[in-house]
Amino acid sequence: MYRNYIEWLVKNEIAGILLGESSHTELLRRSSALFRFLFRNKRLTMDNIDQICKIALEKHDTHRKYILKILSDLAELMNPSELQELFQKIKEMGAQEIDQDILQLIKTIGNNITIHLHKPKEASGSSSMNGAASESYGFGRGSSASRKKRVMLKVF
Amino acid sequence: MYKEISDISSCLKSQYMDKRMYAVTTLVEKIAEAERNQEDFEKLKNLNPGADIKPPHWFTTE
Repeated sequence: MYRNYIEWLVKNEIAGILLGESSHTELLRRSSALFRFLFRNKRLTMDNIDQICKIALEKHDTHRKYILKILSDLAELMNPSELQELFQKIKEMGAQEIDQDILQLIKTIGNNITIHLHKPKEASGSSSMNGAASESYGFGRGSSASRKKRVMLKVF
Repeated sequence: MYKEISDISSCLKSQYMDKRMYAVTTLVEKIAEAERNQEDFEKLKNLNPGADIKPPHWFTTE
């Protein structure tokens, strides 16, 4: 049944319908779990994320806010290399595109990179970020107390 | 399940907002339920590693 749902969502292009021309802010506001489900099951690739970024930039105000909120929720599920890729896409945006919602997304990316950096090496596995990559973000390691605080913030 | 979920698909494409809202809400609920069932099944498998545990019929049938 679980796989049936995944296949059904992909086959019927539900994500495309939600983000397409007939998209509506209230639908987007409620559909974050759906996008997270697809991403967790590897049915949303980084190319799809790139398309979602582009759609977000084409939209205005509330619409854009909820699409960026979806991206922010997806960023919580990403591994360091995916986070790096998403951050790179944001870096490529023009300065005029950066607003409060984009900054919120950057904050989520930063928090998750920090959490990945502090994971024990065996737990983070092959997707672990090396020191050079972390330097490129400019995020420091911080004290264990500040890490705990960040983790607590993430939990709530 | 499939009859119901195909109804959801047509609701999602409806011109009426209330139908579309119903579709998204139902989909999200169904996904949450499917994830819970999947987690329970994985836990059951992990409790007895190596055992040939088949998913219950409600898990695989439509």
